[in-house]
Amino acid sequence: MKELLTRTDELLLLTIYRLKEDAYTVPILEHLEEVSSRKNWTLAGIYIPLLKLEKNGIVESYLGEPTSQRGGRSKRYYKITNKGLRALQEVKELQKTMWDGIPDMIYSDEGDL
Amino acid sequence: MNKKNQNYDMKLPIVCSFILSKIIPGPVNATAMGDYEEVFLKKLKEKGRTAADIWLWGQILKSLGPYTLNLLISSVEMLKNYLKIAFRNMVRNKASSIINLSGLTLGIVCTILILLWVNHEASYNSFHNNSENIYQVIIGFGDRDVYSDWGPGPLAPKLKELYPEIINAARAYQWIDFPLMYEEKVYTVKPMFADQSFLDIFSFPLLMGNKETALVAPTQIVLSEETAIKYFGDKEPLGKTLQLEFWGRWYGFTVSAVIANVPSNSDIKFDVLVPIRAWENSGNDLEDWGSGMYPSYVMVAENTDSAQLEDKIRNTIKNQVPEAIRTVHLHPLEKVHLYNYSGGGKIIYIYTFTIAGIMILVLACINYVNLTVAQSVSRSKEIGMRKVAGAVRRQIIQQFFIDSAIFVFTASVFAIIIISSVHPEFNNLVEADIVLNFSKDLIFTIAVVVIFTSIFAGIYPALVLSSYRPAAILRSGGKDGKGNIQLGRILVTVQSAISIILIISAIIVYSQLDLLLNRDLGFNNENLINLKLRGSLRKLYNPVRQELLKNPDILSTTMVHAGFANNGSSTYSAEWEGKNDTEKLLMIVHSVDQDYKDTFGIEMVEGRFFSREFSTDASAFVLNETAVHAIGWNNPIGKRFSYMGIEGVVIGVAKDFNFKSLHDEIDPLIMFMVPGWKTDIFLRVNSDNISGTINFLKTKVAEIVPDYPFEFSFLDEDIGKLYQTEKRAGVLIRYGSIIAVIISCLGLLGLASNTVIQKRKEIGIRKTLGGTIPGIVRMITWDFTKWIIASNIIAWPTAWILAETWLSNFAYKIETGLAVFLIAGGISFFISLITVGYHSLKATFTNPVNSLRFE
Repeated sequence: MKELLTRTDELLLLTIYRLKEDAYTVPILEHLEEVSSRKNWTLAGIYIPLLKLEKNGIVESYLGEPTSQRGGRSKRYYKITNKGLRALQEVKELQKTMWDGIPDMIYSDEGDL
Repeated sequence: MNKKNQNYDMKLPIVCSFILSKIIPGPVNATAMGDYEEVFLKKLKEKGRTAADIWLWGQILKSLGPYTLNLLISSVEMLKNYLKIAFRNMVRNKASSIINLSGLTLGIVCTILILLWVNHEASYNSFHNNSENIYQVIIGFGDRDVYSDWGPGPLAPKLKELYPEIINAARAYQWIDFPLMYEEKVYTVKPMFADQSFLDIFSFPLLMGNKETALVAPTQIVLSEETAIKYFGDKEPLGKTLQLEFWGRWYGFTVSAVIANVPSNSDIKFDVLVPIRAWENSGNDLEDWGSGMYPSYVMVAENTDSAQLEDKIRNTIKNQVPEAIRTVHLHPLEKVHLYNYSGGGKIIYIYTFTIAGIMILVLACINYVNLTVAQSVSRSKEIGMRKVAGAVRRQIIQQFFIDSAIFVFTASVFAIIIISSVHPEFNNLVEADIVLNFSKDLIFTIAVVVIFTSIFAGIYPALVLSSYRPAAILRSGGKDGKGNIQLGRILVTVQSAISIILIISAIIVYSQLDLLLNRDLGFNNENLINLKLRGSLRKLYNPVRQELLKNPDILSTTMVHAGFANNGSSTYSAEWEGKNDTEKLLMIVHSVDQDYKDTFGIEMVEGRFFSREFSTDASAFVLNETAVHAIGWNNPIGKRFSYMGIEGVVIGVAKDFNFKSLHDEIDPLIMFMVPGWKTDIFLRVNSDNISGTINFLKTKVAEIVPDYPFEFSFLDEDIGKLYQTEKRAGVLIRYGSIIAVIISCLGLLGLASNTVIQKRKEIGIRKTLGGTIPGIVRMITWDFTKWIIASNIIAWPTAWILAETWLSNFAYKIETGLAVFLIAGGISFFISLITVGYHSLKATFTNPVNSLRFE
């Protein structure tokens, strides 16, 4: 059974990929808020898809050393597995194929979304 | 890790951190709390407190949905796993699963049936809209602790007139059944002579006719729906005139209304309602304060203090008739069915059976506990694995409760199927009319039973098995079970104690019933046919008698008014030689004829019985021994005696015989001959060819008395009906004890097989070292025997106390000898010996190689 990644999964995975060693939840949240210019991301909206992705073997997580700054709680860092990388690659290719030959829907000078 | 956390303070507002800690999924809970704190602190520094708070609350509100959804999904995942494991365990341990399921099913069937019955009994009379404000008027007799519901005629109207709290009062007089005739149809119906206000106090809805005018004129009659259909089918009954017979005369009544059938849970039962004025018109004085045959009911205003009102009305009769000794009391209608006014009543059966039902369910639960704990050897590995994999204790407990709930639920499904199929037989058994519709109440009852049983059965395994330390279990292979075996035995002891108590109760109830039904009553109650004196049979008795006696199978006949299987008449107003004025003696009255003694087979102690050869016998009296004794005569024959205006002498003393139920002692009895005062004919017949005799009787009576509705009964059967409650109790307790014994045997069987499995190696080693088969069997059975002996020690005194309490209801009772206890003990001993012996024999015959090869 193979499921396609959702758009949220895709965004999460790409963020993790970009953040590299620093990929724990808070930077992920901040990055997402930054790039998508949407302010309604919640931490819950990150944990739950990540739990599912982890269960499906797309990402893996490991705990950092607990520090005093966070009420003594560890950070949970995420890393994309090989299976995850393959899934991302697949999505990327699919995107490319699908968008190939289709012009931009809206001209950039008509306003931004 | 937990310890480490305590060194730091969370900076999140306490409410928020609490909510978050509850809703964040387990695996990421700890880190996520840190994440929230980190972002919160960052916002606090950059944008201030308010912005940070807004952000945090926003996060919580927006997360509630996704988090709870996640929680739900993961618990369904867990549940699926629990169900799977429970099912696998069920299949793996087929024998104990079957024992558990059948035990629980039987237990639930019993409990629900008993609860249905209890519920039915408790619902008596409560269907009236104002039932909590309706009281039955009870008459007390001076200082004696004797109460009756029959009062003087004018009492009810007077109560209403005198006391404003009493907003309505009605007399409702009922005596025997009367024939009701319409055209050529004659049936016997149960009439109720009642005041118009009867319809206002009680909620028997009218289907036709007007409530305000239905019982006003003395010639009106209200038919129950069933009666109306019997006489008129689908034709219009209103306005039709029927003939009702009492005291040998037919009176015309016009149908004024049709009333709904009386529900089965009503103590007030009737087929037709007739205005009480009609009873008065037949020659009874309703205004006589000396009379004592009218039951009355009152309805009081909302929120009346009934104790206060009772004090007020106590002397109502005395205030009218200064020399009266009778006092007036109130008994709530809702209590009439279960409680006697003077204490006691049917409620004892309700308690007994509720307890018995619960006991049976407890037996089934004990089986479950025993068998589950016995499986702990195999289960403990599973639990160890779950704990190692990160399950917390709460989850293990949950799992065991789910396990028991699955068993109980499955059992209750079987139970419902069984209940639906045995429900008509059960109604027969308890002679009730319990409707089995899956109403809110029934579903609620079943749900309560299921939940109670699941919790009760699951709680011990859940708490004990979840407490094991995983390392210990996994290292030792789960043989940490010494304490459990001990507990199992204690539970088996409790179980067999309960079944021994039930066996003893069953034996005692049965022997008491046997005593009641077969005791020498002082007269011969077999082969006595009873015909009610109805229609013209009263006038035509003599020709009928002559005709009947021509049949050699009819030995003698007598016409009487005498209460044998019913209450009959009694009096305080007899007078005799040497009586002082203040003396009051309640005496039963039998109005008899000359054939009474021979027909019933009564023996005389002194003097003679009435005879056709003495014309003076019309003013003569025969008393029973108790009466002579109560009066205090040494030489009763020839003493002057008078009653009902007849002045005469005592001509004989009859040997005491039991004319009432054996709940009561024999009362003083007056026998005399009043020509008109007769209600019954009794025929002594030959025991051969009874059906031929009855056919003969029917044709002859129909020939001579065409308007007679032929119905007959056998006196011994009627007397048997007096012990209906005891019979029902006997049947219920018999089934109850059989089921209890079955369930405890099942439990014992399961436990024995488990013990034997656990001792497999020990048996193997003993055999290799030269242990003999009888020796090993003795070792195992002795183990159980000890506990069976212990259970007898618990059960005997308990059962004895219960039995004595119940038997104190009877004036004539069996002696509870040691034999009963020995029999019950013997049964329990024998059964457990067979059960355990079988398993130990099986184990002993196993080749030791098979049991030791794994070592």
